[in-house]
Amino acid sequence: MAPLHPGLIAACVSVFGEAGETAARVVLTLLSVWSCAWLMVLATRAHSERAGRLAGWVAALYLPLVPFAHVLLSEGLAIALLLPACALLLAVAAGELRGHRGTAALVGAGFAVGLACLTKEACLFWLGALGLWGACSLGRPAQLESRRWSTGVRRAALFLGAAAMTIAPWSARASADLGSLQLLGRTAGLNAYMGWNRDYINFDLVGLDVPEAGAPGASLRASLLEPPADMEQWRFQFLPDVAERNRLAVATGRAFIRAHTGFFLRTRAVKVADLLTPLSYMTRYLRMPPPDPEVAGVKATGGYCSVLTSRPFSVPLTLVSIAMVLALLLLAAYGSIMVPLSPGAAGLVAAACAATAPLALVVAMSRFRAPGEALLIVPAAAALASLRCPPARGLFRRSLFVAALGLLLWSWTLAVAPILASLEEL
Amino acid sequence: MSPEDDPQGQVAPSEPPGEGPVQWLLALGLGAAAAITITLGLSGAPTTEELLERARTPDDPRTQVQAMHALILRGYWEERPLEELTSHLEASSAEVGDFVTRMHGSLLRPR
Repeated sequence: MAPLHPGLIAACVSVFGEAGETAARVVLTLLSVWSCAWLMVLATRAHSERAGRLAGWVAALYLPLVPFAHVLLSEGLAIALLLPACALLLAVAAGELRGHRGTAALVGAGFAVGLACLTKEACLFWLGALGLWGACSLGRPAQLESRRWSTGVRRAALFLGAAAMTIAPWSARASADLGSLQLLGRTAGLNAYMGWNRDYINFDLVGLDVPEAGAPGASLRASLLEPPADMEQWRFQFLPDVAERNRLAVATGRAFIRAHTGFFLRTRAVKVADLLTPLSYMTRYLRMPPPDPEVAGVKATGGYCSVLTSRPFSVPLTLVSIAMVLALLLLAAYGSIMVPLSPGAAGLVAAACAATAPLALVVAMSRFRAPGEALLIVPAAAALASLRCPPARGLFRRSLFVAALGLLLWSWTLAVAPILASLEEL
Repeated sequence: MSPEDDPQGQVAPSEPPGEGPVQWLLALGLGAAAAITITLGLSGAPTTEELLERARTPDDPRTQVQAMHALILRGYWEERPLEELTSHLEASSAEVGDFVTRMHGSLLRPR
């Protein structure tokens, strides 16, 4: 698996011994403060100082990202690496960093995204999306409308080269260990297994009995997830050889998709809704029982302490968490489409969405969207800062905004049944 | 009108001289270094026999643990009788036994 996050926990344990788990949580909490500061930088650069201040408040108070600030999951570290990279790239796109400083910024951004890939394999999508965005946006001087593609491609190549060199030593080691080419690790193969060779899976809903009727969208959701009759024959043997297991998972999954294209597309519609769901890991932790103190070992998952999971706290916190996701997505859609942002900023938001959307092709759940969700705080803050200003004009912008609203409403319709099931568990 | 002028006549902030070639050289150099690093890692991948030998390297527990990890990832021990694994662990350092017990305890269950 990608080594950086386990390496961070191992380093904490080796330095602090039995207090290593607590030390790792403190480090992740400090990293969330670091991420909050970079969101302020990004929002200031993308819109205004007022947007920067608002981004800081939103980032500090946004409950759905709270678990990644202290639970031992890798998203907190990935966010802390991706945000400064985005800020550096945006500064180059805006012409604020030029010459040797611009070159250093591009190498630094590539290094940071490379480290993010070594934290979470899914960040490879960010690498591709940011590289494409860079080719389009990094060659446009701030004062000009015209683009210089050769400059953009060159700067994007430098960014991608730095990221590739950051990843390469680990790829070499993983390839040597497994005896076959491995870019990062084995989670991609496991996710292909879970997304393509198993029935519907979403860890947001673990332990929940989602109703198939009675709630708005429940029967539609159930019909979209109706599995084909021959599902069993497509499961593959879980081989001990990791490289062979990954190869078999992908090959079997691709054959299954070819044989059941309709089922695959239907379930992907639900996966898109899962990425945009108002549920989050915060709501998941609030309904789960607190961790058992008798069980030894470092635990990444498990519920919060019994005070927070008691109904007087869990119900309002869950409702606030759900409302915060709804508000963030609406404001982010408005801010990135209807509010004029600095050169490259709207494209950067589009790149974050493009990096997150492919997750719907494999396994989708709210946890995987966390880096993109954090970046959406930037256009949301811009929207809050511009509430008294008239929106940008233009048929294309309005059409895009209406389409975004339609996608959100479709996703939230499919999320009603899981939300009700989640509330009933409290 | 020069290529760096916009239609309104504004002049773009020109790049410092030499920035383009330097960035291309860096990009190509880093990309090539990454490709060479991965190729070297792949071409130097040890065979299963070499890993078994490394796993018995005397007085080098770190090499032993790395070799044992690679063998486990390749599924080597799952295809062997449990007795072979336990006798290998008895002949190995305490670090290797600790690693297998903590990280891959399921291998030690009867099968």
